[in-house]
Amino acid sequence: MYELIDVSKTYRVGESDVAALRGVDLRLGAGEFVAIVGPSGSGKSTLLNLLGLLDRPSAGTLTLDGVNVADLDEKGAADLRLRQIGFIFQAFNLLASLRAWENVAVPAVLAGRRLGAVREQCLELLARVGLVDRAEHFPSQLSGGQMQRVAIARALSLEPHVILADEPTGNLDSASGEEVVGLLRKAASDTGRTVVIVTHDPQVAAVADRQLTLRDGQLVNDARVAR
Amino acid sequence: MSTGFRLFHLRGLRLRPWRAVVMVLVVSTCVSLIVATTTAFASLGRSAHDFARAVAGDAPLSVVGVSDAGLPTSLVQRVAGVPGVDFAVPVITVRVPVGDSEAVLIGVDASAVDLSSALEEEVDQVDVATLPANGAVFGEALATELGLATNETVAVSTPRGSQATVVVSALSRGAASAQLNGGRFIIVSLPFAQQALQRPESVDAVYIGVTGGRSVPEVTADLEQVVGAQALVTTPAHVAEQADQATRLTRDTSLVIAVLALLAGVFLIYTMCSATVAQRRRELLTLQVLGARRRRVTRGFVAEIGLVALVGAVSGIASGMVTGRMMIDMLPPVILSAVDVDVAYRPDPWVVGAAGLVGVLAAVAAALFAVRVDMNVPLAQAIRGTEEDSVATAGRRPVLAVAAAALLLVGAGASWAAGSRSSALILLAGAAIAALAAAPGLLARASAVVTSRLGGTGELAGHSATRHARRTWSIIMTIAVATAVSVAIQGSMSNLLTAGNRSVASLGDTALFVQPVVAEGLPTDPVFDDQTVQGLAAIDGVRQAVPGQLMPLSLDERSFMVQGVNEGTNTPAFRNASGQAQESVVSGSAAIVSRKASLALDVAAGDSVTLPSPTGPHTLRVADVVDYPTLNDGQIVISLANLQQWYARPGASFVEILTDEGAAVAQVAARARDLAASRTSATVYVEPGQEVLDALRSSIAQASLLAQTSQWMIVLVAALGVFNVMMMTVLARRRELGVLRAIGGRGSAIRRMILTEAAGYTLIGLVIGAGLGVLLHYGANDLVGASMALTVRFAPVPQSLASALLACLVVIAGALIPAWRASRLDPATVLAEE
Repeated sequence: MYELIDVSKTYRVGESDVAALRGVDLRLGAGEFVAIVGPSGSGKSTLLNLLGLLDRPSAGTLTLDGVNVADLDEKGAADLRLRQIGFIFQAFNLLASLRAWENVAVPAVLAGRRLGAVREQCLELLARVGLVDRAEHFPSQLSGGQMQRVAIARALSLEPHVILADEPTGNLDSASGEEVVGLLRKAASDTGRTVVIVTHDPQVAAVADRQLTLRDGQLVNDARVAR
Repeated sequence: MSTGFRLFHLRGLRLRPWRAVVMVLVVSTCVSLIVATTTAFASLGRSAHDFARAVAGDAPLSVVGVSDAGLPTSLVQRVAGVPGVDFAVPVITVRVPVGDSEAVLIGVDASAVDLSSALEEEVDQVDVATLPANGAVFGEALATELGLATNETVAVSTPRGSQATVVVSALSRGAASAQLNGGRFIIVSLPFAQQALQRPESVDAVYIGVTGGRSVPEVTADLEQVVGAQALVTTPAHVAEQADQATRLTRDTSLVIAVLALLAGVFLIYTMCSATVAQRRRELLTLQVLGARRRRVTRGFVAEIGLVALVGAVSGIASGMVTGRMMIDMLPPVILSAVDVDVAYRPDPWVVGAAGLVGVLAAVAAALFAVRVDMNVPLAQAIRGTEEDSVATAGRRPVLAVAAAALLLVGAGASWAAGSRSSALILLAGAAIAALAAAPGLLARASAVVTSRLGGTGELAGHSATRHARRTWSIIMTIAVATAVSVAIQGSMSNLLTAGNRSVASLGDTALFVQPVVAEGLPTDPVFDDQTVQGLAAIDGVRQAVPGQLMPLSLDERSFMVQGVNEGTNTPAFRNASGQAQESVVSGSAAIVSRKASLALDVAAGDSVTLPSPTGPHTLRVADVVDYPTLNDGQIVISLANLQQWYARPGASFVEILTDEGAAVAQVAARARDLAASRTSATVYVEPGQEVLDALRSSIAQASLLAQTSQWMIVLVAALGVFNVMMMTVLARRRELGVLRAIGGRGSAIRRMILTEAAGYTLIGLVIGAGLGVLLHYGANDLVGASMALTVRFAPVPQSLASALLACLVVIAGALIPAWRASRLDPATVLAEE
C-alpha cells in the first residue's frame, strides 16, 4: 500500500526552515489499523497530509500502490484521493447545505455519478453506521458523534483502499468516540482497508493493531499493539 | 446543470440567500444605470433617425439650410439640374402647435412620389396636387387626439407667431402613417406650407436621388459647387445626427457615471466574493481534499456568482428600461427641443443585451480574481480548519496587485508628462487602490491601532481585525470606495455648478424676458415684430426693451446656436466678453464665441469665422472667447441686425425688458404680456430675469443630477456590501462571541465591540477614501471642464466632507443589524454547536 523511504518535510516559517518530518521510513500494508501518536508538534498531521497526497515530501520517496506521488500533478493527486483515499476530519467538515445522505454522496457525485442513482447506496452506508433514520437531517440537526458517523459513511462511499482519520474523536464525548473508533476498526477488519488514525488519545491508540510514535519529526517507535 | 454544481454551489445559495440578494442588487443597480442611460439617449437619436428615414427613405443625399431659415427655393431647380441627380424633392418639416397638441407639419409637392418612404406612400394615396389650398392629410393618431373628422378645420400656429387654418381633407391610416412621428403629422402642399410659415422663397431640405452611372461622391462635389455657402450638402440623417450631437454631452457624461458605478460595483462584488471565499474556504478546500480538482471547484464558484449576476443583470435590464422610459419624460426642454419629433422609447436590444452581459462578465471577473487569490492556501489547512487569514499570512503581497499598482503608476507618470493631468490623477488613484490591495495586513494593523484607542471593546475589536485581515481589508476598501466616489462626485459637480452659474449670472440683471417659450426653453422662433418691441418699450416703467434672437446654425457639420444681440442686452455670452468686444459685436464688425465653439471651430480671439447663410458666406473677426455652457457645439454672438439680414429673419425671438428704478415690475409684466399676446398667435410668456436664470441654473444642475443619484446608489450598494461582510463576520465568529458571552460579556458589550470594529474600519476607510476622492475630484474637474469647455476651478467644498461623512454613516448602518444579532447570541446554544 504505502511505502515511505527517507521521507522528510520542511516548511518555511518566516525567516527559518522548520523540519516537520525527518528521514521517515515506513511501510503500511492492506488491512492494517494504524495509530500515529506523539506529542503536539511531533509531525503527526504532516505525516497524515503526506499520506493523503495533500502535500509532497521535501525529500525522499512516497509511493501509494506503486505510484510515486512526486510523479503526480494536481489533477492526478485529486483523482487518486477521490478513488483511493477516504478522509475523516476532527472538525467533521460536512457541507452544511446538504442532508446527511447527500453528504455521504459527495465523493460519488465528484466521481460523476448522479445523486438519485447513489441514494440507495448512501442509505446503506448510513445504516452501517447506524444513522439511516437521520438520513434527511442537515448537519446542524445532528450531534457531534452523529456528524462524525456521517463523515465515516462519506469516507467509505467509493470503497477506498485507505481511510485517513485526523483526531476523529477529538470533538466527541467518550461514548461517541468509542462508537466511531469501533466503526473504523470494523472498516479495517471487514473490508481489508488500511485505516490510519492520528490521535493523542491513548485509549484510541490502544485499539489499533500498530502504533507509530513520532517525536520531533522522527519515527521513534513502530510497534504492534499487544492484546 | 451538473449534479455537482447544484449540490455544492446552488444549494449554498439557498442556505445564505441574503448574500445572493445583495449581489443581485449590486449587479442590478449597475446594469440598470447603464441601460437607462444608453436607451434613453439613444431613443432621442433613434426617433429622429426613424423620422428622417420615414421622410427621405433611401435617398442618399440631401441639401439642407444652414439655419432654420432653410434654403432658397431657387436652389431647388439648380440642384435638380446637376448631372446624376435622379430626383430632387423639396420638403418643409417643422414642429407646430395644433389645438392643444403638437405635430410635425410636412409640406411637399407632387415630386414626393419619387421617394421610397412612408411619406411617399402617404402622398401616393392622396394626390397632393389635388388637395384644396389649405387641405391637409392628418395622421390618424393626431386626428384621434384632436377629435377631428374629414372636412373639419383646425388652427395651426407657426414659429413666426402667425396662425393658419387647415381643412382635414383625408385621414391617414396604416403602417406608413405610424412611421411618421407616430401618426402625429399634417401633410400639406408645399406652397401652403411656405405661405403659412411666411417663408415663400425657402424650403427646409431637398432630398436627392442619384442615377446615371454617377457615384454619390461625384454628385456631392457638384452639388457643393452649386449651393456654395447658402446650404449644406449632407445625408438625410443630418438632422438626426445634429440631435445626437446636441445630446451627446449629457449622454456621454451620464454614461461615464454609469461606467464608474459599474467599476465601483465590480469592486464591491470582488470584496463580497473575497469575503465569501474566506467564509467558505474550508468547505471549498474540503471538496478538494475529497478529490475534486481545483479547477472544478474554482469554476463552480465562479459559475455560482455568474448565475447570481445573471439574475441581477436581468432585473437590472428590466428596471433600467423602466427608468429609461421615465428619463425621457424628465429630460429638460432644452434637450428635447434638439429633437424636433415625438420621442418614442426605443431600446436597442443589442445595447440592452450588451449592458447585461457586461454586468455578468464584470461579476464573473471579480469572482475569478477573488477565488484565485483567496483560495491560494495549502490543502492541508482544510483538515485542521485553521483560519488562513491572519496578518502573518495576509502579509504575502499578491503579485497581481503589485504589478497593477506599478503599471498604473507608470501610466500616471506618462500622462502627467504628456500634460494630461486629469488622467494622471485618476491613474494615481487607481495605483493607490491597487497598492492597498497588495497590503491587507497593513490595513488590518492600522485598524487594530485605531480601534484599540476606542476603549476596552476596541482592543477586542482590534484583535478581530488582525485575525481576519482579508475581511478587514474588504470592509475598509468598500467604505473607502464609497467615500471616494462621494467626495469626487460632490466636489466636481459642485465646482461645475459654480462655474456654470458664474457664466450665466448676468441674466438676473434683466427685469423681464418676453418670449414664446417657458423659462426652461430656448426661444428660437422670431415671433415678435419691430412694432411689438416698440410697444413694449413704450410701457410705463420700462427703461429699455432690447430685442434679441436665437437661431440654430449648421456649420462644418456641427451644430451651433447663433445669438443676435443689441446694445443693452444682459445675455451672458455677450456680457461675459470684454467691453471692447461687446462694442465690436454691436457695431456688426465682430463676433463673440463661447469656449466650446472656439474649440470646435479652432478659432481664437483675433481669428476670423465665416458663417454660411442663405444670402452667402459672411466673415467676422472673433473679438473674444467666453465661458458659456451649451449642449451643442457652442454659442456664436453677432449683432441682431446681421442675423436678421443674413438669414432673412426679421423680428425678435425674445425681448429683454429693463425697468426704471422703483417701477412696479408686476404691472409692467402684465402690460407686456397683454401687448405681446395681442400681436402674435404664439403663446407669450413673461418671465422675471431671476426665474430665467434659476431655470438655466436648474438645467445645469440637472446635468449633475444623474451623477449625484449614482453617487448615493453606490453608497447604498456599499452599505449593503458592508452589511453582507459584517454578517458573515458575525456568523464566522459565533463561537468566539459565544465564549465572550459565556464568560460574562453582556449583549450590549458585544454590540459595542462589533460597532467599534465597524467604526475603526470607517475611520480608516474615510481617511483613505477622502484622499482618493480629492485626487479623483481634481481629475474629474479637468475632464468635466474640458467636455463642457468651461473653466472649472478646483475648490474643496464643505458639501464633499458632509457627503463623505453621510456616506460613512449610511455604510456603517450596514453594521447595525449584524451587531444586534451578535448581541443576541445564546452562549449555550453556540458553544454546543460545532
